[in-house]
Amino acid sequence: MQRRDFLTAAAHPLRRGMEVLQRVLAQPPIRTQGGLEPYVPSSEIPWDERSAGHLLRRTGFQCTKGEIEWALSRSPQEVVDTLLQNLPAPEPPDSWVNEEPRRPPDLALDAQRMAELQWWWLRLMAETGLSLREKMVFFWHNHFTTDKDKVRTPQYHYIQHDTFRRMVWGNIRALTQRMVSDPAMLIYLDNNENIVGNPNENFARELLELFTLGVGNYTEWDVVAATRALTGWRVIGLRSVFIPQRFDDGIKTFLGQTGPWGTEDTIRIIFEHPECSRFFARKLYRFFVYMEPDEQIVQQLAQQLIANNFELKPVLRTLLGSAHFFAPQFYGAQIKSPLDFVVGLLRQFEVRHPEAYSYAVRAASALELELLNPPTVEGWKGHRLWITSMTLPLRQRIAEALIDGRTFGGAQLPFRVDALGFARRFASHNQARQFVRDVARFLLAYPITKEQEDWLFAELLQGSPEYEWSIAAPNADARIRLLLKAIVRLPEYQLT
Amino acid sequence: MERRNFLKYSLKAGLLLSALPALGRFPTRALAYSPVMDRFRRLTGQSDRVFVLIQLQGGNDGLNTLVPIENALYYNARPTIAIPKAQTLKLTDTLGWHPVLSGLKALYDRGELAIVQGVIYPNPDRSHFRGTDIWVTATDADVFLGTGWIGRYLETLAEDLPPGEIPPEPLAVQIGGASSLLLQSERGLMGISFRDPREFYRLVTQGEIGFGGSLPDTPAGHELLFVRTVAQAAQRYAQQVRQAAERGANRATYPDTDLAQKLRIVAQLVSGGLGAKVYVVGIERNAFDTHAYQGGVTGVHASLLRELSDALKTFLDDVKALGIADRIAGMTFSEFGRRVQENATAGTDHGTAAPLFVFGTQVLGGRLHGRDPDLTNLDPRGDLLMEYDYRQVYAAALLQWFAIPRTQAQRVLLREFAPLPLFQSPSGVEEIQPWEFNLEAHPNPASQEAMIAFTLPEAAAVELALLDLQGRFVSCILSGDYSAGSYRVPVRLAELPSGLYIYRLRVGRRTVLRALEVVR
Repeated sequence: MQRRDFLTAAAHPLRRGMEVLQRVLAQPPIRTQGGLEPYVPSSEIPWDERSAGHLLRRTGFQCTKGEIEWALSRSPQEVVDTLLQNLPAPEPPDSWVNEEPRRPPDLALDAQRMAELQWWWLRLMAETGLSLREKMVFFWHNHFTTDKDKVRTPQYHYIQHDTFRRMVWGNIRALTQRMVSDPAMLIYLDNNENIVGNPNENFARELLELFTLGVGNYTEWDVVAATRALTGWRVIGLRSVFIPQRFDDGIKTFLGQTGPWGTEDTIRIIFEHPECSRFFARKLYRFFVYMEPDEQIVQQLAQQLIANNFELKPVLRTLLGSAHFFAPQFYGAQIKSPLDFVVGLLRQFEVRHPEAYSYAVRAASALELELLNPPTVEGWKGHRLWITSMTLPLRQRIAEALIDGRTFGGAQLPFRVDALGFARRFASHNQARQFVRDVARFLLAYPITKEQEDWLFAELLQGSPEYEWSIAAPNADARIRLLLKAIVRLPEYQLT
Repeated sequence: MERRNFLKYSLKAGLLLSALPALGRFPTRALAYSPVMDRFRRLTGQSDRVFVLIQLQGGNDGLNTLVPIENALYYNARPTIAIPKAQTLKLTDTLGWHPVLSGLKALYDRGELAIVQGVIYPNPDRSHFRGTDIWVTATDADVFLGTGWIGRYLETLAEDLPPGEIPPEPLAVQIGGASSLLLQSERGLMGISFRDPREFYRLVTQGEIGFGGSLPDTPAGHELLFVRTVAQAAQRYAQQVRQAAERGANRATYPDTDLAQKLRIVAQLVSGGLGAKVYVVGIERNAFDTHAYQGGVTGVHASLLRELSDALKTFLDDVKALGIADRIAGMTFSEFGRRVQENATAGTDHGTAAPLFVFGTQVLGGRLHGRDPDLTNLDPRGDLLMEYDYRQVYAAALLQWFAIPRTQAQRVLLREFAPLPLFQSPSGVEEIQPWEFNLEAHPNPASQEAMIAFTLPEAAAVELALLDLQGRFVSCILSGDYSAGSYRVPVRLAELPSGLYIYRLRVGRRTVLRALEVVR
């Protein structure tokens, strides 16, 4: 698309500002390289550290050196299947998740539990290993949003997250229907207050606009009809119940269909709308592949969603194993979210420490992604909006802090990167030049230039001759840290 | 590898310097008319006017802001949240200020605030996100655009910069909040954002960054270029922001609210001489989205209005005390107003037209544009009809406040809109008259010290500063209130590298630039 053509974007009714926003610098040419047929390694696109790294970085929160090596010992399809294996549900953070909400609430206790929940979830992201699950749970959190400012009972957040995890790549329609009566959602978007004769259209509007169809695919009168059809739900204790007296059982015309519609009909009718499958397909594409959707691929994914009756897993298997997904033009073409960045640091450097998870929760919040607290019902818009003159330097300082075990304010942290242990994972650890190359290739999704390599090499050697380099040398630990800090400061480190 | 090798400063510097040797021999007066100075003027901005945008996120309830006190329909529609007439502050015979808006009322009464009623656009969108996008991109309801109107305006100031090169000073500053579509241009983000100037500086100036070379025309190459541009902007601007914060001051005590503290920083940075043209602040997190229990005389909405009113009043008091009030104007905006009829949960749903405020000492204040909201003539959803297109306010800001040519304003707003009369004319753009203030440096060229002389026809706030050719601040020569008369001020040049410098005299709203050559 030519940048002068921006006005014609209006022809795509689904293009929200969020998508066109990304088109700020002139549009790069997207050559459609490969469709949804399976990726078969070739001499042009071999199954190597770059392609395997691409798959693991996009489906997890970055990856460890060992995970890449494991992936390379398997075929791409085997790795995709591993990523999509169902895992046992994790232990809940504590028994309080089953406690009836207190009336009146104990605000201090709830705040503490909310923090426990954030910590628990972040630890799962860091420790779950080769699985798509936690990243997909985050996808749903960012889709069916809820925030802790409005929903103050941590139990409700846990219930919603448990649903996301259990239905993570199950049926999208079933998940959407489940969200109508989800306690956190009922409270967050006021559907708890949506009663026959006293409609509150907050949830119905967002259901159509942000959760299923997108602006332009329904009218104001559809919002009115859906609002009436979605009445009747009420949160009681830890559950929601349907109270017929609160339900508007009158006739409604919704998206062209007329009847005494209730929740189930509303969801059915929405999912019969041709835009619905495209809406989800586009969102999945942007999450996993690239911010500018290839509409041809989106259309094919949408057809697959319909063919699979909105079961997600087979569609994810197709997308993540496709030639399109593995096209090298997409390697490094996304900007890391704060979670990709912070959890990614913990995983790449294999820092496992309870305090590190608390630090990561705080760091992600400082980078404008606080778990359980999206800025608006639209979730985090992400992509280029993550990077500002404030958050970019902050990302650099956070990464350096983790490497040094000291915050940029000077405070000691109870954990840090094991620099020598990290170096020993690389067979080249005693050959300075090759070591720099290998570390950069592992840590970065985008190749560095020769100039940058020279600069990193100089950071590692600090003026001493190359032949003297060995990780047994007295200063090796400090020098490896200098190298790692120089790498995480690179603009390239923001890409995934 | 040297960082300077990575940062491509040289391109633009080269562009300017290549034209300079010949100019150096000209009498300094002539320099004011040279193409180089013309380009430079556009970069540093001939006008030193500043525009402040205050975003009220979530959709402010206009009817409970300016209350239609004689309208029974209003009181019928809002049995629990209406503001009783007796509690309002007098605005007109038919309109009353919400009781917490004493600050705005004071500004209005002293002519520093204008009100525009019924602002929205045709076919209003009731989505927060789409509505906000429309306001910040300045588009019709069915046009989707990836650049903001402020970004497009600021781009006109930087149009001589080579692509990929960032302006010598930050053109816009956003205090708090994620980066905004408002500041996006086809060149990328036209501003920087931070919460606190000192924290910003501390964060940025650590560790060297190894920028790579040219980038391929691929998706990843484009993302990398974007990240690099932000990194370079942060590096270049952090020092300027800190210096401005240190030079700047506040002369009023601000309330301890989020918005007030943001406006305090704006006043501090403007008074400290930061070159930004636009500041963006806001009450964030969709706070004005009062679907439930919004309150009336007291409550959630009242406290939000109070935050706005008290913060804005303090800000204008402060900039007056600082002597920079004439350079500052601004406006509030919110994605939509709210429905006339309150809902079942003592709140209001998304609506359409609503009032907005334009503020500053150079505003044609104490005026109310537009009729009272017409509650008998609503749209099919029960929402207010449009009185003014929001872009009529933007057009006024561009044409009257920033005084850009009509054709350029049309390009920024994508077509022509009739501006509302909101700002004092003539604008801040002054033709540079070489004889103005008899500004002159002797000797010129100089090596150890020069004497800068100027004459004030009347008492004024004066600032004399030395800048380098990229418009970066070198030193402040003097600053303060001076009475009428002739002045001679010595400037020490011994520590400066040889080359051409600019000295800039600001007298009230006028700015005069001259060149000074330093030789060794």
